[in-house]
Amino acid sequence: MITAHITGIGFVLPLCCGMGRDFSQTAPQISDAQSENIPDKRGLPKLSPTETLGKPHTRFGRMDDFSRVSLSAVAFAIRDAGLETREERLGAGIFAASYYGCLQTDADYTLTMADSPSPGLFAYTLPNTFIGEASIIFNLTGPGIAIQDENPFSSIALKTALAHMHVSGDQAVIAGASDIIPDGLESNRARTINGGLYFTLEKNRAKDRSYGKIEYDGKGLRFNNSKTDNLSSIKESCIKTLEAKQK
Amino acid sequence: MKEIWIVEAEAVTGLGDSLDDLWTALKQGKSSIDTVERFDTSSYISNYASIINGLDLKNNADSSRADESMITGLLSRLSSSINPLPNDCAIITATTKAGIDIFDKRSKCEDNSCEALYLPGLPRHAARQFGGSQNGFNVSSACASSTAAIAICGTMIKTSMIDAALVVCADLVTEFVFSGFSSLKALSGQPCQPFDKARSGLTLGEGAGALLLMDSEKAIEQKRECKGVLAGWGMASDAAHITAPARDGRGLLQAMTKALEMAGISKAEIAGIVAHGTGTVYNDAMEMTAFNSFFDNAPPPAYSIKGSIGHTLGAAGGIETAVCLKILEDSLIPGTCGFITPEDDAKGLIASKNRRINGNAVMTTNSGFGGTNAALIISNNSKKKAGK
Repeated sequence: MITAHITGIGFVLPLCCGMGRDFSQTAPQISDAQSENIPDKRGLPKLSPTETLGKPHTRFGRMDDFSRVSLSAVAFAIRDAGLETREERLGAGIFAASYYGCLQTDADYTLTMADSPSPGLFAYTLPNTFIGEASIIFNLTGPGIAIQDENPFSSIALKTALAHMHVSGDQAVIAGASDIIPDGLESNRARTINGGLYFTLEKNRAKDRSYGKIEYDGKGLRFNNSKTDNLSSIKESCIKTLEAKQK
Repeated sequence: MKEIWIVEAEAVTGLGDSLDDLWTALKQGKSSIDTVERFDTSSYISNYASIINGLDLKNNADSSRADESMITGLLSRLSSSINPLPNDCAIITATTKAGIDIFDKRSKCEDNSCEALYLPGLPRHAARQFGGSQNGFNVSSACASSTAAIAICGTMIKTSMIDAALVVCADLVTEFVFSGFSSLKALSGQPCQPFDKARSGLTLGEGAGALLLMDSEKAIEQKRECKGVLAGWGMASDAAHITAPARDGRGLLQAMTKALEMAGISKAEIAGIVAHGTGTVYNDAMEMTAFNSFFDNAPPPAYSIKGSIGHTLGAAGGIETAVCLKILEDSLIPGTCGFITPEDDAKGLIASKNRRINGNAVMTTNSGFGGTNAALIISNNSKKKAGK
């Protein structure tokens, strides 16, 4: 059995963004957002580097939407775990799932090709570019892996990250999913959502920082001894655990 | 401890439709790099690439296929020489841009007909071509994509998530990618010259590779032949720059260190290195620094395939791992095409002629945008009982 503590949650979802410890009950659940009632527009909150990264960042405004949203959600997860203030970042890596990834950025870059291909935009036509941004900002030296899956907000990134921690001996990983549905792709939006949801996983951490223990037996995930298979339900369980601790 | 065998390996590149074709051509010092006719390169800083003959669909007699991606034909060629897969074999793909050539034909994707554009569509497509599970996913870690995919499959087998996985990697030469690298001034005006003093950039190439990884116990049970052992792997980030490598090679050093630790062998047991060796000034300098540092200024013979088949981006690591198996089989590391005058740090490390090697393990490394690095150690020294 592979086990780790969830020590941080970061999210950028329609109408809300933040860290697990600042969670607002008004935030919609992913499962709700996946329903047919999702608004046509992305509806994501406006993001600023000082709010999301905790400091100014010159490239933040020039990033594509996918990178900005993904980086922000990862940054919230890192900050929620208090990882960014620690001398040693535990060699943390990032495992990030998506369906479309940077496909909208690809389309935007294509529009520049006829006149003057934009090198600035081309650099963001890889789904792992935001991982590189996060690794620079937070000095994360572990692997940077983008996974493209049919159901990115299921548990694929968490399972892969936990297996990696077990085999590599790495002490911490940030894992989750983010996506931006490209313009005009209405028919495919049920596969994923606009936004990002990431978790910081650590092997050993003081109990007061842990939302709970996540376990993986090679087949399925359990969070605090309950079976789970999607990021939203894990986030909800984490928040409930936190609220119970605070009472 | 589980041992991971590589029991199938194939490659389709500009030097032929099989790994054997590729290996024969590499030993003969051949290169498939030529001028590009697929699209107009007049506004770009290079007109060289390694193109696979016959992939283009624009002249296809069946006009209904004109809007398809060339990735379909590429995977079809690759699948033709792979033996049947084990039951429940996972299909994990690796690519940077999959069927992005569709964007060379139209600037947006309006419906579900563009499966090849969606990266999760690649494992689905590969599963149809090769057989195997429909539940795979794609790994994208820039130019280290397939190296990372192999490492992830190794991890999944070690933790008993799966006991067999086919890693399928593929990338194309498209105007989308060509224009991007041209805009970054990363392309060489001439065929690339990895590790050469006069190197001035990379040359793009297209290709695909397939590697079947199995838990050795299952492979033995199925009487599969062990072509090589995935002995160790490591992945690390530079945390330095988005499009340039860390000059001190810190991420690559960390990846190589992790791979060696996992393999449980000494540095002296690494008989050769299949380097990333793109031919860009900064990548090759970074690698020379990292190799000299890692091997205490006495690195084993190193090699870059990029002068022969170009830089196949996300497919590079998979194709290079397949070549590692041939290097071990023949105890020979090929000469690096395009390499003439060595940098000071490359003297003795790289050669233009084929060299004999003596040992049972080679290392292959890749690095990419986002500061990503991955290293694999491939051995032919199985501790388990061999198959047929």
